[in-house]
Amino acid sequence: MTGELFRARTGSPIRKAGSEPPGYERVAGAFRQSGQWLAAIGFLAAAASLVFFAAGMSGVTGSAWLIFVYAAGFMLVVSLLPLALGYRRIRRVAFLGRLRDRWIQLDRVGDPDDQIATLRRAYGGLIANDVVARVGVR
Amino acid sequence: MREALAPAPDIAGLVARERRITIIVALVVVALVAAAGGFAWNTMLALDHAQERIEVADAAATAARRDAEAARLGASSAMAELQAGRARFAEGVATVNRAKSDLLRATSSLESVKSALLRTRSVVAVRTLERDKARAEARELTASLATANERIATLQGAYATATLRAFGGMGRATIADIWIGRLRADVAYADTRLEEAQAMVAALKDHIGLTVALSEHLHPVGSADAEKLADSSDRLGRLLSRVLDMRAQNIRYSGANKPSEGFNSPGFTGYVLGRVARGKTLTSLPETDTPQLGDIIRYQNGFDMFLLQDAEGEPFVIGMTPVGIAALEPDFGVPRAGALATGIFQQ
Repeated sequence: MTGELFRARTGSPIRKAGSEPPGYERVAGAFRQSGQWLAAIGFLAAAASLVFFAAGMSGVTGSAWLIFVYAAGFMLVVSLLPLALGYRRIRRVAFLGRLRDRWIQLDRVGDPDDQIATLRRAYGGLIANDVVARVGVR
Repeated sequence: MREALAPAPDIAGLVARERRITIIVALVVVALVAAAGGFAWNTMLALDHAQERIEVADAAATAARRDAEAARLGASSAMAELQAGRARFAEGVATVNRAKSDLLRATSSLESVKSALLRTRSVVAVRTLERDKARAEARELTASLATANERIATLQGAYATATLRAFGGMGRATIADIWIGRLRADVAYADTRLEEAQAMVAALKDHIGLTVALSEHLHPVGSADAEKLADSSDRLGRLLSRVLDMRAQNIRYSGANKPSEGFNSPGFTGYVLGRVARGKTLTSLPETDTPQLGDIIRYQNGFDMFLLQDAEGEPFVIGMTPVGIAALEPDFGVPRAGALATGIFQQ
């Protein structure tokens, strides 16, 4: 319950021209940081997969090379999860950027069709992880 | 109004949720990496350990194969030794069988010696029969001589008749001459036959005389005498035994001086002397005036006889005579010519 959200919910008449979605920087920063960490973890898992594969194919593991190849495959599959999650966050950051630009643009022209409310629901659904609200916006 | 209905975004919850997700995902990924790495590493170690155990097992199997080969070689050697042992056993059995056959042959030889001894004992009787047969032949030759004399007388009468008839006519002279020639040839043939018959009669008379003379002085000798003689001197016993063995072999009188053909009297004495006293010959013996047992007495008819004595202590001489090996009394009617000292009795 920040003050910005209070103002948005209450529809305060004091509206600044070109204002952005409330708490945008924190939300985008959270998604960006989370996406960067998840991508790093995914690349780390992929790197581990490459290490296993290289160790298995180079012959230093002797007769256990096939096990290392299987481990490499397993780690490659495992790395897909953080990579997918990170990719999703980065996509969300890009979406937030477009939403912010639209929000600012509508706010400058006085929001003649009352579209900011729709953007507000979509923004709130994104923060609350509400798929229905997000899909409705897109 | 719609702004008033919009939910208030929970940014702090978003941030916390994103952090939780990130941390959970990181932990899960790290745990999976560690688990996969540990599993692969442990598997590699287990495989290496299994490989080492396989190599050890291979080495043990190789050693076991070597042991098996060695055992097979040992078994083969044992089988070969068993075969060799069986062959040696078979050879031993064959040797025992040969010894048995030798024993049988020795037994049969002993029987042959016994039978020869029996034949030797009958030699005296055989000699007596030969003497009687020679006397009958002498009587027959005497009758033949009388017949020849009668024929000579007849032929002489015929010759006289033919001579008288020659005076009867010239025509019959040629016939008479032929008859005379034939008769002369018959007379010459008859004279030759007469001379041959006379020579044969003389030889037979000599042989008969010798046989009769020797048979009158025969001295019976046997193996018991040899055994008794061996008590006083082993060499004298062996001398008499050897002479008796040769008499049993019926060795004849011959000038060949070979055991297979026969001996004359000096040859026989020298042969026996060489067998009993190695290295001695008749020519190497000194003469003696007092012959002892085992010495050789020489007679003027050419006999060389060993002087011995029987079991009762009676002396006799034994050697080869024209009628065979005979044991005679020392003075069998022929003067002695000397004696040779063999030294057998002293040795």
